[in-house]
Amino acid sequence: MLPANESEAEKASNGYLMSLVALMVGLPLPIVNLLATLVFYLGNRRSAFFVRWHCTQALLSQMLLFPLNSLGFWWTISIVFGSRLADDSFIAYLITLFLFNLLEFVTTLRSAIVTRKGKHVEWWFIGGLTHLVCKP
Amino acid sequence: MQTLMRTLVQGLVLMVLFLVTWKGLSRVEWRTLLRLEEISRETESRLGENLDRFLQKMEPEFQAPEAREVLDSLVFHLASGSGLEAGDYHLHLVKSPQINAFALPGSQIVVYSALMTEAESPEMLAGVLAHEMAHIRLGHVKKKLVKEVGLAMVLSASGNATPQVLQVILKHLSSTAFDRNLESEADEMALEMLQKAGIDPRPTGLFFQKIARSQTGSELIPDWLSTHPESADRARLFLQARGGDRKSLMSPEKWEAVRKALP
Repeated sequence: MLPANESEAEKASNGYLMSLVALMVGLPLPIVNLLATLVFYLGNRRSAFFVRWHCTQALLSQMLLFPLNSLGFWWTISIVFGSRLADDSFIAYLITLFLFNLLEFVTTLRSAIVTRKGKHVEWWFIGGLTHLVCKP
Repeated sequence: MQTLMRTLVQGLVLMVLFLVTWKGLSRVEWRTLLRLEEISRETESRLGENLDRFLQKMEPEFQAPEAREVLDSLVFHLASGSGLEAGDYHLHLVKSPQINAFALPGSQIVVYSALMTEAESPEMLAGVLAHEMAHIRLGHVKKKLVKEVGLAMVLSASGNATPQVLQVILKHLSSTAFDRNLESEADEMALEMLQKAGIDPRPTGLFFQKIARSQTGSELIPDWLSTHPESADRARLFLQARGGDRKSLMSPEKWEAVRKALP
C-alpha cells in the first residue's frame, strides 16, 4: 500500500500528528487525544485509501488507550478529592500507563515521519485491527 | 480469517503484557521507595500543629492540675507498658459537658472534662485513653480524615489552613465514628495496652456498659458513645479479658477528689 501522491502522504502523516499535538492539551484529559484523532478521521472519510487507513490506525490506537488512561485519571481524582489512598498498586498502574503511553507516542511519531515519506507502516495488533475495519 | 486470528492473539498478548507489567510493578514498595510515608508523617505533623493552635483558641485548655496529673500518669503507664514514649502523646483537657474524647493528627488526644467526671475509676478512663492511643498508633486518624474530607483538604489544612477548614476537620474527628473495622482494631490494641500496663481492662467494659445503658432512656447520648457505636458488644471484649496485675491505679477517695474538682 503506497500513497498516490505527496498530498496523500502528508494527510496520512497528519492523522498521527493530531494525537501528538493534542497530547500537550490532553495530558491530564484522555478524551482530548481521542477527539482530535476522531475529528481528523471523520474529516478524511472520503479520502484515498492510504489516508483513510492511517487515520484509522491512529484513531484505533487512541481508542485502545482511552479506557486505560481514563481509569488512571479517575483513580487519581478519587485519591485527591475522595476517600482512596495512593497505594503501591496505584503507583504501579501509573508507571505502567506511562510506559504504554510512551510506547504509543514513540510509535506515533515514527509513523508520522515514515508515512510523510510515502511509506506504509503497520503497528502490531492495531495494524491488523485496521485491516479488518478499513477496506479499500 | 487468518488476519482475525492473528489480531486476536496479538491483542491478547498485549493485554497480558499490560497486566503482567502492572502486577509486577505492584510488588515494589513504591510508597517506601519514594518516601511517601515520611512525607505523609510530615503532613500529619503539620496538620496536628495547626489543629493544636486552632484548638487553643477555640477551646482553651482547662486548668485542673490534679486532673491533668492523672491523665499524664495514665498515658505514662499505658505507653511504658507497651514500650512507647509517653512524651509522644499530647493531651488536651478541655472543659465541656460533653462526654467525649478523640484523637487528632500529630498524636494528640482531646479529653473533655465530663468524660473524667463520668468515669467511676481511673481504670475506666485508662481504657478510653488506650483506645484513642491505639487509633493514633494504627494510623487511623489520617485514614479517616482522608476518607471523609479528602486528600486535597488534608493537604490544604497542613499548610496555610483557614479556620473554616480546621473547623471542618475538627468536627469530623470529634463527632464521627471510625468504621467498624478500625474501631475493632483499636479495641484490640487498647486491650493489649491495658494488659501490658497491668491495668485491669474490665472496668473499661463496665464503662461501656454503663454508657450503653444510658442509651435506652431519653437522656442525651454521650458523644463518645454516639461516635463509638455498638458499645454493648465492645464491652464484652473487655469484660471477658483477664484482669491486670497492678493494684488499683489510685485510691477511690483520691479519684473522687479529682472528679469533684472538675466542673
